[in-house]
Order: sequence, then structure tokens, then C-alpha cells
Amino acid sequence: MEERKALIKIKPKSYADGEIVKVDFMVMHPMETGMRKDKKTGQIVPAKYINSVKFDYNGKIITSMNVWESVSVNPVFTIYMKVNGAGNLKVTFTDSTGEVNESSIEIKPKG
Amino acid sequence: MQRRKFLSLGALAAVATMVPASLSALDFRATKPDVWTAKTVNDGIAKLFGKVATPSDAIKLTIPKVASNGGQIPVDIATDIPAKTVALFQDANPESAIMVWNVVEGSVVDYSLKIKMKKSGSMTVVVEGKDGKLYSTTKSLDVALGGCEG
Repeated sequence: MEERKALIKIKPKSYADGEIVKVDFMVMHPMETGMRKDKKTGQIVPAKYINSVKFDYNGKIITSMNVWESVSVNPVFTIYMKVNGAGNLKVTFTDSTGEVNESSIEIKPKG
Repeated sequence: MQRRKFLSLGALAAVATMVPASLSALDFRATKPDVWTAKTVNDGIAKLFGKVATPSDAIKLTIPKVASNGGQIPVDIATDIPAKTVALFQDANPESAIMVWNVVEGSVVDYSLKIKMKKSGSMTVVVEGKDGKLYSTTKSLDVALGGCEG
């Protein structure tokens, strides 16, 4: 299992309880469609793309996505969520080759 | 610190934590594999929802009129309709489905992402409301440089 560079950003940086915040989830992934040919070798590059993304906040799924090949290289998935107490936001993403990775961030509302 | 701790747990822990998550979330890849191979937008909608969508003004789909780079087309979707499922389709690539969101009670339907398109075409957003009706919006765009050539 290859480790993917992933990052979760919450905007604005400081937020209160009950506020709606923007969550950007970025991941470094080639998102190969399986239709592209390698220009040097002429071989078809095998498909490898993220097919499922789940946003988990304190053990409860807030959004889950089914993804197909048309999503760009190194995708950014943006959602809005309501802050509901301190906790942990975890993003789990699965690859078409069966690779499962996770990334998480602490949610710390102010005041 | 947490990340390091997490990584050391390895694949076993990742699989173990995945199980409850995959049970409670809808996976269209497993339940509706036909959507994955649908070639046209209408075909995709029919296979995913089994109904015909009616055009609606309540869905906001924001895309550029002309995309200079087909590999990075920004798409914003927002709606006030109480939704159950949101799906995005396009008609330029060989497979029409791009993404399906499962909306959980109380969450905000406002998503952005970047997609790639082979040539000029149109994009369709379908929102399945809690009342069971389908709403859709279509917008077309020009792609200057195809995004699937690598």
C-alpha cells in the first residue's frame, strides 16, 4: 500500500461551535483513467483512480462520495459542514486498485 | 503526532475502521454497477435513479463558459432543495458519470471539485429530493484543450 499525500484544510482558520465551515480535502493522486497511452512506450496506462471518499466526523458520516474517472488529477474535494463540538474529522478514500488511505484533522471550535 | 501513530497501526487498523463506515454509506459502485458503464447522460440518470429528471432553477451549477485547460475545470454545485442524492454527469467523456454525493441529514449541499473533459460538451446536475422527485440543471461549456491526453 502506497502512502498518499493528503491534506485537510478548514476555512476560516478559527471558528465557533455551530458555525458552517468550508472543508477542503486535497490528495496527490494520478487519477489514471485507463484510456491514456504512454507516449514513450505506446502502452495503455492501467486505470487507477479514487472511487470513494467518505467524510467522517466524530464517527458519523457527514458526506460520502462515489467518484468516477472524470475527476481531475490531484483532486480537491470541497464540502461545507456544521461544527458540532470538538472532535476528529476523518477522510477515508479508496482507490480502484483497492488501496485504502485515511487522513484526519482535529476540530477545535473556539469559545 | 496523531498521523504518525495512525500510520504505525498499518493496514489492519485501516481495514478494521473501514467496516462500519462502508456499512452505513451507500456505495453505488456495488449496488448499481450499470451506472459505471453508462455512456450517455440520460442513460446514466435512468440507471442510477430509474426516473426522468425535470429541469429546475433551484440548483446552482457554476462552471466557466470557456475552459482553457480541460484537465482542471472547476465545478461548483449548490442547492437549497432538501436533497438525498446529488449526481454530476457530463457528455464529453466515454463514461458519463463523474460523481455521486450521498447527502446526510443536516449537511449543506454545496460542493466544489475539479474535473477533466476530453472535448466541449455539457454538464448535468441531478438532485434527488427527499420527496423522491428529480431535479436537474444543464450547462454547456467549451474546452480549448482536451484534458485526457496527459
